[in-house]
Amino acid sequence: MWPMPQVEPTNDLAQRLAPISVTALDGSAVELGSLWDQRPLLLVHLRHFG
Amino acid sequence: MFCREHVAQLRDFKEELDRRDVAVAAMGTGDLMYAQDFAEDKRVNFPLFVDEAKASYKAVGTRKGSSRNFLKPSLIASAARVTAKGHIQGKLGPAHMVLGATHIIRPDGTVPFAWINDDFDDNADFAVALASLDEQAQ
Repeated sequence: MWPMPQVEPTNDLAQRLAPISVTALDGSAVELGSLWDQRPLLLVHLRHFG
Repeated sequence: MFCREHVAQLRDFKEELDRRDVAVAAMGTGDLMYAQDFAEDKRVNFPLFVDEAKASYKAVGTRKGSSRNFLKPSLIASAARVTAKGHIQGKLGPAHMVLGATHIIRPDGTVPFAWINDDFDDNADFAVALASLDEQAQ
């Protein structure tokens, strides 16, 4: 049996994340919303690069 | 080291995500040069981004770890398990007390899977996250 996800997803999470700009490894700016506009996205926030 | 194990798991899981036509993106809090070194060292095969302002971390509501938890027997056991797999602790990056999170977001903005790490070793299982797409689709 799968363990349950730890939190209930909030309805407006995608709306809040979409306009946030982050930096790709080539230095370009990317709006998060562009990452799931075509297909589902697995978005992983890492603790840190260490 | 838990971050390194998590990245290795994601790297191994990438093929399954491709097969299911699910995109993947990972976010980190360090600066760009730090991220580039990390990606090369860990042979990252998925898009990796830097969020120095931690705006997306705040939006998803990530938690902060406590240094007191370093003494928790369960965390010490987890650290030993991860180290035995070869995931050695690297240089601590900025904001290293900020914990992680995992979400799946659909093109329509719905979020069938949300996981906010509760401790340093509390990472989501990617297979469980992917299974949530199936459950929601039924």
